[in-house]
Amino acid sequence: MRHFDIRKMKRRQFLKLMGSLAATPLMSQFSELAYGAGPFTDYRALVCVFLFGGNDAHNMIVPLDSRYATYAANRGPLALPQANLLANSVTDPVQGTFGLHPRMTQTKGLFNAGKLAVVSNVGILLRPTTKVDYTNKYQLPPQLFSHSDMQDHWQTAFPQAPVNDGWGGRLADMIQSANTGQLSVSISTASSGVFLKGNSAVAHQIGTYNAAQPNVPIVQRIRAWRDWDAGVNGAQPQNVYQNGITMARTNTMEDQFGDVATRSVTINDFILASLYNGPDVNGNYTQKNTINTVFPSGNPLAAQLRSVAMMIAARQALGVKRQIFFVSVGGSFDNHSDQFDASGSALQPPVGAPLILYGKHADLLGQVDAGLKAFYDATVELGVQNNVTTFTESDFGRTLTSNGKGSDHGWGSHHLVMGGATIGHKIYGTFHNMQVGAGNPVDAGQGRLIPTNSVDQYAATLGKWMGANASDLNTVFPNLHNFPTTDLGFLV
Amino acid sequence: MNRITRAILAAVALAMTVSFALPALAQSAPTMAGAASRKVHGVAGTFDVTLAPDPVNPSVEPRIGPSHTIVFTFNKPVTAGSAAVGEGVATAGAPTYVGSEMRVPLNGVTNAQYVTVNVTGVAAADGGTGGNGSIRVGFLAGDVNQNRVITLADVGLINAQLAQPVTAANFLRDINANGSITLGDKAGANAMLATRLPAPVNTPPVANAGAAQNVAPGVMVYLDGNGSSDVDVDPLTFSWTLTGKPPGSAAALVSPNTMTPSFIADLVGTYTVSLVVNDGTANSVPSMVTVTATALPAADQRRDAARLMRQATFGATRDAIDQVVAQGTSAWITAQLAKPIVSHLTTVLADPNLIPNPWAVTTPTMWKQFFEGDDQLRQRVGFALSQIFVVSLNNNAVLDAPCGGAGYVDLLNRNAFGNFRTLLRDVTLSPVMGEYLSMKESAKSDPVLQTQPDENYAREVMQLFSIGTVMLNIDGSVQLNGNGVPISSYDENTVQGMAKALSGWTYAGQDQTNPWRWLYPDIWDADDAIRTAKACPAWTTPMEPWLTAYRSADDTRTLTGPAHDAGTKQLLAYTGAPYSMLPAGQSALTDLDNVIDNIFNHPNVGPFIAKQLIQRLVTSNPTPQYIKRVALKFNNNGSGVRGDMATVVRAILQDSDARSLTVAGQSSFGKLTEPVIRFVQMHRAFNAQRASHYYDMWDFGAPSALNQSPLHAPSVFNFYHPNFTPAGPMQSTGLVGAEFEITNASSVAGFSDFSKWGIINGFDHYDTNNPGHMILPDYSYYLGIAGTPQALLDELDVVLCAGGMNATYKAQVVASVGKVPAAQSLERLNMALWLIINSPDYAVQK
Repeated sequence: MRHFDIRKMKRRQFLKLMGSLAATPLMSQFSELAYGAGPFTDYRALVCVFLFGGNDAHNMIVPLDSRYATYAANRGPLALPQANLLANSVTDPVQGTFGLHPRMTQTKGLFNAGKLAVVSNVGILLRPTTKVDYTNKYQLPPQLFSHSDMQDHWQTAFPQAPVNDGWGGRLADMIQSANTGQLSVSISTASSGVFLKGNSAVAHQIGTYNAAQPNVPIVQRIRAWRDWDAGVNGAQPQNVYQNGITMARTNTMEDQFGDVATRSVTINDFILASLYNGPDVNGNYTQKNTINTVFPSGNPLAAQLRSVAMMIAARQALGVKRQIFFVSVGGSFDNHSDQFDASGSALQPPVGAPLILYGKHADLLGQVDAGLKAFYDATVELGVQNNVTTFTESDFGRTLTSNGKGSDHGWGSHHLVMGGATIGHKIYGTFHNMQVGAGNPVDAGQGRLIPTNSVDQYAATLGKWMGANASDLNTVFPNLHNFPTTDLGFLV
Repeated sequence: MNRITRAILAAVALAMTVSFALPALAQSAPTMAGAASRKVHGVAGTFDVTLAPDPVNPSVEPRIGPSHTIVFTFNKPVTAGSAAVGEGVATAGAPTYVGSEMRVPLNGVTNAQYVTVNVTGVAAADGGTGGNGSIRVGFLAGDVNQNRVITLADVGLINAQLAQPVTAANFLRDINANGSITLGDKAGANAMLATRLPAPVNTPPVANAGAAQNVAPGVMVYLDGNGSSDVDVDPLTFSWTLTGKPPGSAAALVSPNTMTPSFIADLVGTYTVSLVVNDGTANSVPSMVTVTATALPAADQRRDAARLMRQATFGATRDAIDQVVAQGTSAWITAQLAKPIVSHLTTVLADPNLIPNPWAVTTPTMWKQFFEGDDQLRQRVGFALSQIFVVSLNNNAVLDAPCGGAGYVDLLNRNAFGNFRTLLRDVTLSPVMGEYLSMKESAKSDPVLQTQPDENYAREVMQLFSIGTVMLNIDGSVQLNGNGVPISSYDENTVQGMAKALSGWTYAGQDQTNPWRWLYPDIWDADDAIRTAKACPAWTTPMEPWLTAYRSADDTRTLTGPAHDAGTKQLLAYTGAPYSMLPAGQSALTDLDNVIDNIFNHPNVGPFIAKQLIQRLVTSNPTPQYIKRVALKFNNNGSGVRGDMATVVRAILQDSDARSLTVAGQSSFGKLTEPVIRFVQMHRAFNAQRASHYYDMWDFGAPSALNQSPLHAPSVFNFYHPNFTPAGPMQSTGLVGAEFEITNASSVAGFSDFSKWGIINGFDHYDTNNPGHMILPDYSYYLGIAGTPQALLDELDVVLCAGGMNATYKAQVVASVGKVPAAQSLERLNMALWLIINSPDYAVQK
């Protein structure tokens, strides 16, 4: 037992060495990089809200000028009535008036208050790509329109080859030294896939806040059987267990499982101590920091963002200056044929109401709307609204044409950026003309948009705000140099 | 006419000879002085390939064309004779005579063969008769360097002289003899690359049956005749015979006429196999190989059986281990394959909860079979299939479908040991899958609404259920193009073609005289009686084409049926693809069967499915050779059947990689067992069952529980991606481990807490006050040996970890448990169990 820590350290050093030796060329570039500027003085956090399944952004924001008629004709049964969109209109000073989905009333409020921006037609690209390029299949990202591949590409920002690290993780690698505690820059409330995987940074997963049991911690600690009897009979099962998960093993998967369990034990204990008082004699905890903002119940995104807010509230105890969070809304955005299926909806369409205003997609956008607003309010309450930037990602946009009750996998899509540092009340990038076919220079067919802003540009704008310099950004985003602009300008 | 002309000319020649030859002595027979193959190269002139008069080492004619002229040159002028083809495919035309040349036209010459031309009865102008000659020539179009095989060297020779004038020095490059050396000549040679002439004189091949093998009983033995050889490099055929086996063995060779046949060494003893190869002309001398199956030591027999249980079931018991040891791996699998399917649908229909809770009965019957079923192999393979052909009860419509989930799991289990084509077809026509991936009620395009057939199922059936997005080699590796980029299996055109081909389907049993039923099928009818009578059958019967008029998606117009797209459809295009383009006007059913055949026969299916099943059952990082062995069994079960799943499952579990304890000791071998299986396993080990036999446990998908629940994947992409690599040691060593995607700091702690109560006093997350719902373990045997911690741990190690516990950790657990007073045997057992069940030793099956 007394060798426990030494062995662990040796193995970790060894693994780190092996990691840098065995790393792909892409990753190896990062191993020597660190922030020369030293620890940051301020606190900044990015919060990625991943909308799994491919959000139908054609119905999230719709132009209300002459393009509306084109939109309505091409969307068919999926078209949102103009009256409902008008009632929720947002105005970009340059590009005119648009309608947000009628469920996004609070998003509209944030937009018009300048706290939220729309970045239009963002997607995966290798280089600026025209319709002619698309037709000629010239330097296109592989596996276009596939869920799993495009999710990965959004997260890796390196579509041309499979890589084992995401841009969030690579960014985290570079700013990990900003944090003094043992907590990783990268925190997720859901399986974060590849997004938060770095070379040295390892994402830590926390649980979802349960409003019904506010003092049940969002992390659990592993406590061995009869741990509390250890002093009585000297069996010390907790020590034996920890030795079992930290000892070097022949089998690499056993090693890996041991690493996960070790992080669970050590980091969860650290988070528990930072966020909660306790446990008391009954094993109960209470929250250390107050958050009065009410997060809507029955909203899985809001519950995750409540956990994020708790981590942010405890940032000093956790010793963090920079954080990247990953939260998600499940795969239900893949509305091929159930876009306005209201069979599982709390909100049922009244008799005679347009069905398209109800059902799955409307409910999901409502969830995003309420979740984002509550989270923004919480950052205001915590005084960090200018230090936290929240942004959306999704697999892809969808076809403008429909299957009757939904639409198919597309490519470019519109995204939201929220926070006090956002230069809001603005739509970035030129909004397309809603046509299908020859009349639309960014239509790859059936209203699949050829992106005009790349994920690299979108993400590099966020990375720059986090403090990465131009050289760092080119390392985190290997394709960034292919694009004329590296900062889309939506952050101060 | 020709013959007459020739006779006159001969007579004239004879007369001339007579008139000039004085005195008229008997002349000698003309003797052959040489031979050549002659062709006219357009305006460039006529060129000869000189033919060596050596039948053992004949010359090669590299120029193409069915007609050639073989010129025999004699020692003096010749005037008559006859010519015949003695070997090869060609016919000799009537010879002509010019001076000492006898020119034999050769017609109908095929490529890559030897032709022997014999001339006899050749008469000379001087009156000599009885001359004869023979020449053997090899025809190989494009073989410029005349080495009997077409290689890039030949192409290069042509390339070097492109557009040069044809001369005596380079005419061999003008392989089409058109008078110029062009890209056409180059392309001609290129197209024939690797074509070769057989050796001029056959030498019998030499068989090599491979090295003697020592295996454990129950292993599928692969023989390899690859070491066989033929100096003539002729293609070989193989003929293997099992000439000896232990008494009582049922071993039989599978695919005995291939290079790599296999058999199962089911019993201990010696197997003798003989190989004869044939080169098309002659048999080899037989080559013999012996395979010796040696009994494992008794301890390893129990380990092997326990490992099989971890790979093929929801967990070992002491009884099951004993049974496998007694029966042997092969016989146990045979018995499992023969177990009849236990229908969840039957269970569900008999369930009194069905009517009030139509949806809430699928997972209880699944859990029941996991915990209690004796058809464990089918359950385990069915669970693996449910993670490939994913539908999820997280989808409200699927959850609400009465009988749907149960019927779908039955479908998977029914086909688990059947044929993959049937599985793929049944899944495609399943109304549950139709709902989940929205093929159901996907209609042809509506020009008014601008709607298109739904691409959801069309895409995922290729990407996830059969071939994947990139072309694979038989060993599962990805095919790359010249730039090192993976080659796509299909493009968006194919997806759209598939979507059209799969359009026009709806529930079985609909009233198709009513166009509204397309949009509002009567299984959702407000009338209880209609709904009850229709719903269960509709959700468990294959979908049917909608053939009549139907309502538009916005319910404003009635459209002309059928709902199936009538146009042509682009399907998968690959070498040998059936139905790569569907003609217009086929029925929905014909299109569907064409689609299934088009996908099923794609070369990716074998390696794609083999790899995923290996990853779910045995190891996350199978070797390419392991994948290849299983994929080849998918492609052909030995009886010419493709897609035989029973053969595939057997090939996976009885592969030497799966069974070998040496391989099990390698750092990269094994897999993180899914939490659902880990959870069931720790109960099965102690025969823990619910007294009620009713397992009303629904969704354990929260990280505070198992982070996984059967039939509750978050999306069609399952609980995890097949190629997920976690950060840490596995990323450093380049290993994948899908199950790690749901294994993190939260879920590890969750599992520990969740499983604790099962250890202590029986698991029941639902109603701890209802004893009938407790899953109660039977610890009696283990309490009996708990007095000796080492004995306790040794037995728990075998049953729970298949004997793979780390020795150091085990010793520490033994010491720790020993600190608890011996009288507290349950306390000892509980502590030991907790320390095992949360350890890497238990989590990872090796």
